[in-house]
Amino acid sequence: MSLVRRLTFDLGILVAVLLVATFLAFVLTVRLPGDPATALFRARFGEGVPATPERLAAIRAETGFDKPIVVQYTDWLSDAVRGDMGRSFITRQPVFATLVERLPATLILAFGSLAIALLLAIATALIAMRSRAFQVVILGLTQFGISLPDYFLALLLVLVFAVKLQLLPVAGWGSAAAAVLPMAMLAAYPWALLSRILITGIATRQSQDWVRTARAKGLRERIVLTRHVMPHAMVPVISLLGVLGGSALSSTLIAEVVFAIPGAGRLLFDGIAQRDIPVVQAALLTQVALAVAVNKLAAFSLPLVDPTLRREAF
Amino acid sequence: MTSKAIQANSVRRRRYNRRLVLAGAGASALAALGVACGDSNGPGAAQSPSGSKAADRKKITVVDAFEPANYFDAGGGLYAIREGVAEGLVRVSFDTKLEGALASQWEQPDPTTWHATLRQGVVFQDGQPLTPDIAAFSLKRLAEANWAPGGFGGAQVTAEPDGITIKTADPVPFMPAILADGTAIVLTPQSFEGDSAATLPVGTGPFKLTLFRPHDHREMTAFDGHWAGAPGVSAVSYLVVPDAQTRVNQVRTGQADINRIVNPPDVPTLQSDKAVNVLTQSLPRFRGLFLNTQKPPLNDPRVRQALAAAVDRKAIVDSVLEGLSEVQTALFRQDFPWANPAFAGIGEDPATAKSLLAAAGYTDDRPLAFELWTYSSRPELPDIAQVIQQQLAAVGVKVNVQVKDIAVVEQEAFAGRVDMTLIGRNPLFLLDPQSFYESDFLSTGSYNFARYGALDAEIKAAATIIDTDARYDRYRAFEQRIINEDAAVIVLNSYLQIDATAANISGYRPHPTDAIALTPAIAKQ
Repeated sequence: MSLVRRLTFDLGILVAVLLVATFLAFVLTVRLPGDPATALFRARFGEGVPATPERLAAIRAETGFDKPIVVQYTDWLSDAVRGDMGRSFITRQPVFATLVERLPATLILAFGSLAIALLLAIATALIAMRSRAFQVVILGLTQFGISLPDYFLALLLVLVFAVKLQLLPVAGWGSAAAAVLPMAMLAAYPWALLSRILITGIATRQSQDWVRTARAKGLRERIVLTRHVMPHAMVPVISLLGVLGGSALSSTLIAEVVFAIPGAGRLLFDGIAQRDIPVVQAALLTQVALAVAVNKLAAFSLPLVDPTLRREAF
Repeated sequence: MTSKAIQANSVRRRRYNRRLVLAGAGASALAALGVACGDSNGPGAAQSPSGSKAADRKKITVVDAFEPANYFDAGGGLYAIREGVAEGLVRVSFDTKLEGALASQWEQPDPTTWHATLRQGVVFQDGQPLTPDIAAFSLKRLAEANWAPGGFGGAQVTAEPDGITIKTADPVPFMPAILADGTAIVLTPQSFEGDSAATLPVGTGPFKLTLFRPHDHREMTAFDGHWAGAPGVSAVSYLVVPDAQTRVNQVRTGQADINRIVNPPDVPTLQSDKAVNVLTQSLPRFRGLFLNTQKPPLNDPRVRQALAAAVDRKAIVDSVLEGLSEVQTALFRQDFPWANPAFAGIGEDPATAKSLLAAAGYTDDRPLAFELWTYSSRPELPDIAQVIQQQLAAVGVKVNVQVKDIAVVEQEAFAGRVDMTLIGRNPLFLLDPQSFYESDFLSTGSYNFARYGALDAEIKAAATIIDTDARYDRYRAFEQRIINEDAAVIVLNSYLQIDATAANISGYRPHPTDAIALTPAIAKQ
């Protein structure tokens, strides 16, 4: 398949996924148990203003909740394809501008923590290869990283580094110091997962014929490991990075809540709770586009590290 | 006197107990100097920082769980007042009375007319003076809005040389309470021009809003031209921090100066921290079990009274709320003028509960079973529901607890499909009981969890009684009927506002209705 045909095909898949995802999100958000107009009314006016039938009717007319759901969706879609993502039902802020404002924090958190996790995982795997004792210790540590709940880890980090030692801020965003704890929390799980995959990958490839050949040539063990074994062991790691990076908006949510970071994950979460359809749809579009883009990036990256995949890549 | 009041309300390094709440409430009452219907310097002047020079003032950071969608809609005005951005003609004082804010006095020349005289020398944060035309503009806008408080919709508002006149179709005896509501804030006409999402409101409050980022934070600077004096701080950074534990850690480490809304389990930690003061204040909001008076067998008042007698309120406060609440049986706290000092609700009496159930035909051979619905956005409610479940089981009543989203609970309860609903309810968004009785106990009420309708004519009639004492007598009678005779709702306990401040913050105290948070009196050493 030529590159142009491949890209066209991928674009078609992306559009289909976006349509299905946004329609499902639309239906699910509107059809969540409970009256969406009441939920929206409470989010906008609070409990102090009585939600009279007349006021709820005005909300339904304003938001289109009084129309059939397919009509509501096509109305939204026709605006969206013209680049108009609408305004938040709650704040009346333009959704696109809000998303642009909040996406950088989420992307920095998601990809920054993944980059840290990857670098640490490579270092961890190389250390683990030095001795059996190192492997046992590292497998124990990674088990800890995999099983520790995010929220608990966040509290632990805050208690030690922000409250006791007062080295870092408890929460907030906008400085390098403020990013340390949320990134550490977010990096813990992928670090543990990637380390284990790498250690296993390296171990299984150590006995391959081409590795034996490399050693027979008299190459030093460090060269064998970094130039011959590691690229092959990186293949599943890159695929996994594609999956982890694609779920940025959901993976950073806990960090955004615990560390009070104004990111897109919180925007999506609040939008669902408040039935703020334009916000949910825009955030979801971003999430799906991001997932597809990151997955594609991962797929295109694989041949770069594994020469055996180059012939099949395009 | 004010600092003593604040100290009296402080529970730093001490275990909270009931005496402290009473001391705090008493001190608050002593501290405030407002009058019910006339001029007052209010909390701003009463707590004004003593001679803080502009150069000495510092910026403070406030962390809070809640935020407005904006400052313009019905819900937003409440925040504008609370955060010192805007004011109404009237406000709720720190001793829970209505006092003049932008109005120096008001009167009711005839049953359908109110006249408010504007305070002299008030200017907006952009420098333009407050005029009757501008005050009338904001209130006309409210009268035309579909979210105008009951009685104010369609009102004719006219500017007079010394103030404004409000003419209504029917008598509205609680008009001053409406004028103190968040919906009735006075903003400059320019605040409403252009894109409301991009325009910052300009009011007369002690803090000028300079940045508003929804779901994140807002920034304010001191407005030194405020009629009650310059604020004691130079600026405020008001952050939205949804996680309660994070807010606690922020105030403990000095990254926040004021933490609004502390969860009861965090109180001991904060009390043990010398760098933090914990402040408490009982609120009008109560936790209550609303019984569906239309749905058999709860349509039998003996069954409802039996359930009320089976509930041990103190056990709930001690076990779930760690003692950080007051047992309450009435709809309103006793310090409100419409409360009945002699009121005694149905207290815990399992023997009476069993005999009432037996009289209604329900015994061990024919036990009762109910669905109790509640929601988790107020996290203590599901736990309270579990305790109630055990307490009712002791008198042979089986309860199935369902925890749902608040929107689902409301929809199902208002449709009459739920037996009993455990909710947190603020009866005083307006500082007058009328709107609460209308929304919660009129058969057409928009918040009628009890599906109550036995007092429709009486509640509607009360809205037009001009004589305040006579009107309050009606409310006392309603309370007696609703709580004791009809047992439509089992009031359990009151909410306690728990805030924490850094030890170097002075002049901050929780407001008894949470109407005001930021005042000119707050200062940072």
